[in-house]
Amino acid sequence: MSDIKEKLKEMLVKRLKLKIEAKTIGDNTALFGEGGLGLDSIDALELVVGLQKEFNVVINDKAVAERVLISINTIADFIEGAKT
Amino acid sequence: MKNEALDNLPHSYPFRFIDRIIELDSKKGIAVKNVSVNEAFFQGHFKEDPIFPGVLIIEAMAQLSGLVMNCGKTEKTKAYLARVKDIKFKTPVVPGDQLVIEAEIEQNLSGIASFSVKTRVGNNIVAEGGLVIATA
Repeated sequence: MSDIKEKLKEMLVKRLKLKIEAKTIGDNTALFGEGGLGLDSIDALELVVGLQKEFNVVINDKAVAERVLISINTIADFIEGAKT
Repeated sequence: MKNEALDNLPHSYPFRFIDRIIELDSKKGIAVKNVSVNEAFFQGHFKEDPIFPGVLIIEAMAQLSGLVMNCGKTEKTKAYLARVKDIKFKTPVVPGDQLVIEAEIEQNLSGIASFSVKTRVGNNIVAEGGLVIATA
């Protein structure tokens, strides 16, 4: 599980060209909004593409995206859930 | 049917960079743009050496992407170009060339979608990359 989280953080930094180091992202850091990473809807779309390409999980629905793309923890849970 | 699809393009002269729709559905579109030496920008781009501006190839691909985004919707929304991703220009486009433009949805999150786009002249790809279109 922690492997997935590390991989997710690296994917986030690389795909979204974030100017921070992957290890500085907390598992519960908010991805969107102030006080968090401050991602926007264009980043969310890129994230969904990345999840599909690198983790083989599909998010096609905005409601699912809003439920899953909250923090590293929520995405990792979704990836784990998709495996079973 | 196909001409009606082009009627849905909000762009008009002198900023319409699609002449004809070949194929269009809610996932993918193929369109044609004929490049004429009479187009005004060739006066300066460039006077002795006319080259179709790369940014206008992006514009043509964005216009087609907007049509794909609105295809099949009863209520049309405005499509905005939200992102240009790694567009590569491989060969200069010159007067007389016919651009065959393709735009295919890669991921759609209701209202915002990423597209894989490419433009060919004959069998040669002249530009390819990705675009993000947002509707509002």
